[in-house]
Amino acid sequence: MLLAGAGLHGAAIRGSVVSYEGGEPLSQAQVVLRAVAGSGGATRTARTDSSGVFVFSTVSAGTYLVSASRQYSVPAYYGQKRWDSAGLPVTVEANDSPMLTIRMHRWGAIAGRVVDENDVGIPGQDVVAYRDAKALQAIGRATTDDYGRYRIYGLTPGTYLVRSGAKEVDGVSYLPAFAPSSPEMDQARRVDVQLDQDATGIDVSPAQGRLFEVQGRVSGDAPVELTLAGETGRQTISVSGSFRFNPVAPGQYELYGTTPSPANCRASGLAGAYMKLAVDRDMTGLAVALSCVEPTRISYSMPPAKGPSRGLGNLRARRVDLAGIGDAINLGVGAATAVLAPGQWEMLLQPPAGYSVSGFYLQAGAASGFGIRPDGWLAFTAGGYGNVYFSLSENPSSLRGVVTGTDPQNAKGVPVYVEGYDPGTKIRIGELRTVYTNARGAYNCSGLAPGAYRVLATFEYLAPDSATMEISGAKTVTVWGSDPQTLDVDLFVIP
Amino acid sequence: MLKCLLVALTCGALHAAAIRGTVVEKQSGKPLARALVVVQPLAGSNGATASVRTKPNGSFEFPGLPAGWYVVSASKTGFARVEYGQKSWFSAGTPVALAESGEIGLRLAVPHFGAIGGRVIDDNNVGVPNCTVFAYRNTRPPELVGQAVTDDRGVYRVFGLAPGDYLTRTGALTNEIGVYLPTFARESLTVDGANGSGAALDRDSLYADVHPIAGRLFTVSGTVSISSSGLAQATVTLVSDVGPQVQTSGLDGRFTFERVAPGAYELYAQGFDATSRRTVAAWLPVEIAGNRAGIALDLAPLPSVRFSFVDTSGKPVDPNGLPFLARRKDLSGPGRTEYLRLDSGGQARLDLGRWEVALGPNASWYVAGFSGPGARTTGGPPAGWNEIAVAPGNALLAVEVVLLPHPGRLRGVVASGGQPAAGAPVFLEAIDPASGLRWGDLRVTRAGVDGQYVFAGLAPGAYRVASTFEYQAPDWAAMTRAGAREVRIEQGGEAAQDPELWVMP
Repeated sequence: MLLAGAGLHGAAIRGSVVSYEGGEPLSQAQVVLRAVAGSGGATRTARTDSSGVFVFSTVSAGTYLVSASRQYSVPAYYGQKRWDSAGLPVTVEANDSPMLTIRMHRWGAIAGRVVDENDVGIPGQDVVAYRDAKALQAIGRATTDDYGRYRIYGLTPGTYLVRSGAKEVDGVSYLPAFAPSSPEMDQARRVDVQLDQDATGIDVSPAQGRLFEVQGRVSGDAPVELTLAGETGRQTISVSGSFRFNPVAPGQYELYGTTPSPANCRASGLAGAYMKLAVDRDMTGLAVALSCVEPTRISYSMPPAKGPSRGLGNLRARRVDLAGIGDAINLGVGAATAVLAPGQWEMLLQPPAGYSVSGFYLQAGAASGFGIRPDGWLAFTAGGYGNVYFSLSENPSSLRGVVTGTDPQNAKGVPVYVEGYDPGTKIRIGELRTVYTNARGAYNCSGLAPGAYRVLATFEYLAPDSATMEISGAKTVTVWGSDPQTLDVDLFVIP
Repeated sequence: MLKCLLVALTCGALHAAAIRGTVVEKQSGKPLARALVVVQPLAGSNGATASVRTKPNGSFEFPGLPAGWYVVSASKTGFARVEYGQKSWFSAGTPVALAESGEIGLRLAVPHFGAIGGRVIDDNNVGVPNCTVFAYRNTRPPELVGQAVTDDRGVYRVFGLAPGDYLTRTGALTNEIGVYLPTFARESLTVDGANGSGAALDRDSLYADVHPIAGRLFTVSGTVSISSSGLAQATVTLVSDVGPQVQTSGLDGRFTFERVAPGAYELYAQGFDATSRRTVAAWLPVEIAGNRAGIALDLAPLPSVRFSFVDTSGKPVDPNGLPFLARRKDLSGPGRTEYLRLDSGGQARLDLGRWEVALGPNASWYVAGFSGPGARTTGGPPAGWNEIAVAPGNALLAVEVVLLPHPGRLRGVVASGGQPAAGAPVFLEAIDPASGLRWGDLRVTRAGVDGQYVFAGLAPGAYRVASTFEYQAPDWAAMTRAGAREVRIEQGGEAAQDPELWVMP
């Protein structure tokens, strides 16, 4: 009797997660219930059972956002209009028990064949999918099977280009080619990718041509991981002494490698080498000289903490080479040194709560980070002697306001996107920040470094890119000092 | 025809002839550019083996060939090799007779290898992505032959498979959906409960779905070190019957393999000692039934393996020119076969682990005895593969190979209907006198234009010989079907056996 009585207190939110295509229940999807600020309780998570069902019991009355995620599925938000729009909040009263259905999409895919002059498949060909943009950025890769077939999956909707890589097979060399058969990007076929669908029949017919050897010798006898990076991808080989890469197409390349060397390189324990190559002929007899990698020393300047120490912030780094931006690695909180293989890298300091990154200075290495806002990814050259200084400021700026242009009831739980922005280059600085309005339709985005920002409030998008911010009429604002700036923004709805 | 050709062959001055043709994809009939075509004359024919790549339109030409009998084959990357005249994928090709000034036109249709595919699925028939699936020959123990990874739909396809029966098994899997043990199709932890799949050329067998079984995986961790200089960084390899996992230990020598399924494993570590400037290594077989921490791998210089070659009286035999072969063997099976490279002192550097050594076909000597660390013969007499264990802790390991001179020979004439069977494939297998079953590897040759064949370099013992175009590599049962005849080979002796060409009824 008591238990039954207790069960009547509070609402419950339950539902099921199913696939968009076939409606099959999706087990073990993670479902997140997040209360809109000023409403309900703490964020809670649950996993769907084998029937795809989730239950949040004893939920306080309030307004909530419900989302689901699962490996290789598109993250889904209850109530979203499209896959890339934000979810709508769910309001529950005491003892309500709404039943929600969340449908999860599969990412898009591109499939086709790489064929020779007789329309016979070429096996073992690397195929790369690029976003249709001026600067090629590889998004996905695959290798053809014995029939020359490939399938690149996990693609967000949009327009792509497909290119096959350099390949030697059966005594002939194929040059990289965009689908359907062009070495030039401007003649490449644009492929429209949509969720839950495979864009099929994207065949590539590469031309035959001359590939070039890249071979030589690494100093010393120790085993070295050597990478050759070009526009179409990377080759990594383990070598000891002499090396030889698979033949490559003419073009620009970067060659880099490292080997553990704790005895000879006491400061870093690592020896490495880096060189740029313009390949227009066979490159034989390359001499790759390993030298000790000098740790990049990291210094932080911050005002003394008034309360308990909040740490120095988490430092992340990612390699940038001709094949694109590599995966980010964590260097740790308050890292004093960064032992990174020689070459171009980018570094990002995620400041602790209550601080912002207000300055960045390189004593040595590439100066390409100079003039860029210090709260974004900062380019530098690793491997040689260098010092990096970060300045952190207390009481960073913040931006607050209310979402207008709609019924106050509809202004709860609205995603507000805040984008660091360089008005000169019109490019995004750092990563997009997302905050949600509270039960009164107000938002607050804190921890901002001084500078220009663009702000957009909308359910229409989930993570708008810079172009979307532009066409959606995002408001521009400059923040400085520690006093909160106020900016009210209208809820943007696609007409 | 044969008599005419033999006459022509003995006439001496011959007018050139030609073999021309096209190579096409068997499934579609499309021409295959750059396929490799080989013509191999039978023993007793003039001329030498020649090869050419097809032109863009799939055509090929061998002009200027002497008259004779030739076996013609075609191969191309991604396709199965074919011989002209094969009745089926497992049969041997038939030679073509090229007359003086003659011209032969051939069409070779090249098939794709077989493939096995399916889905890895959860309880709701939803595909499990990013799961490695291994394909094994359906033998006991199963032999690993290929692998693939499921895509976003849980779909996999293992290709490049010769026709035959296979098993598929998922690898250990941990994802946000759960923890799964290696599971045979359709849902079995053991080989006995596994569903087999048949692979055929030019065909995909797409129904090998696997429903992995949830279970517990373990962590295997430890440290590599060099006794002389302390902690070390090394490449550490954990090998099971599904292949290796490789990682580089940290600067402190620590290594950790996560998500390891229960079972038998071998741990290898190899590094470079900057002080002594030598390669150092360690090897440790381990049985995993739970989490294993604190495994210590002490890296030591690779031992030298000294091979000594003697005859039965203990007198040294010069191994120069003898084709000794070696292949590393781990839990995932034998590795690539290479020639054993010995220095002037008869020593070889072999990585730690188990190795198999054999003397390749040779007309002067055969292996009569083999001894060394952990030595044992593997599925045959000492004349076949012999296993040794190259274990750490020794600076020098001694292997003794007892060689006997004057191996035996077997010769004969293959006949068909009273006529010599030119170019007939002849198969020879050593048999275990106790069980009557095959011992060691099958040997294959082709009869010459006059039907004559020879096998040399045979260790004394019992053998069976058969001749047929029906098979390329018959197993013991197929040899029996083909009417294999028993023959005994004595040391230094030459036995004769004239098999009748067998044709499948």
